[in-house]
Amino acid sequence: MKLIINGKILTYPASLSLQSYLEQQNIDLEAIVVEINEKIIKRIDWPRVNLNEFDVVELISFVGGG
Amino acid sequence: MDKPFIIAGKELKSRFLLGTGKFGSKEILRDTIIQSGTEAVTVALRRIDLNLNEENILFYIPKDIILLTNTSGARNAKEAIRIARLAREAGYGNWIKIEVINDCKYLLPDNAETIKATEVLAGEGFIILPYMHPDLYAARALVKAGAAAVMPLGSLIGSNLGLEMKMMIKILINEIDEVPIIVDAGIGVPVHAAQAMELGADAILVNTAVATAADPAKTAKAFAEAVISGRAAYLSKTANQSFMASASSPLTGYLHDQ
Repeated sequence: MKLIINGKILTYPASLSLQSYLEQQNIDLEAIVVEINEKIIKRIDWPRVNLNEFDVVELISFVGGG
Repeated sequence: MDKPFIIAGKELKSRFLLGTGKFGSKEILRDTIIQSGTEAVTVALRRIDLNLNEENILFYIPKDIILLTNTSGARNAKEAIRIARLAREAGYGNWIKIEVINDCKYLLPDNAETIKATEVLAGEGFIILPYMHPDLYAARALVKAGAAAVMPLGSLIGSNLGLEMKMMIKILINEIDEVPIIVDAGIGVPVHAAQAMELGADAILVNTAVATAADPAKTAKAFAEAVISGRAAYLSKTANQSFMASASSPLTGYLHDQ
């Protein structure tokens, strides 16, 4: 299954929940926001949202800015 | 007696807002925030670099500080609205500095798109502080659209040129009573901050000049003091300017008097 994550095309095994995908990443999940196909996915929904072929996933967090 | 500085019902004791970009390290940022005495800082939202596992900047911002997430990167109202909604979902409040820029050379804000975004987001309950080009009609439209403050630029972002827009900012200060005026962008040295406050601005926001100084914490303290003295000068209604001299010492009793 191909996913477009933060602008990059990546291949993953089929039927992957958002929650399990995120847990596999080496990132701090505390202050991140997830958008799939321009729709915000609430944290509470992470376990029951599945990633599908060609989903456009954005993983966003805070950085310094003016 | 000064009137309190209130944004959307929240009183801020400090009239100095700080940006968090361009700091050499997160530890320096934390020290600078503390030295500045600020109660509100701007942050941005960006894609996570999945290869970096970078520590989150929020761990270095004291918990009682208001986070004002900017919409930097937005080129139009639609993109600014998207970023604002993402910021709120992150769970760190709903204060948004709208910044809509589609010019790469001067980074000037697009007032028309900013007004559109303000209208939508204020309607959704966000507290909106729009970064804007100091134009009276645009400022009035932003107030009407529900902005909680207006943030006119002093000069170009990161330029450190000071109050190039002084006259236009003064017009906003004179004419916009409903919300605070916060001078943002271009404030390069403490004297610029003092000038903005002497003009009657309610507050200022500085980032580059502090973050890129050799000693950011010390610079932040200098800015904080300039803000306080500039405000005091404004409240004391300092004397008028004149193009002719006016002696400070008595014009009588000279030694050469006959």
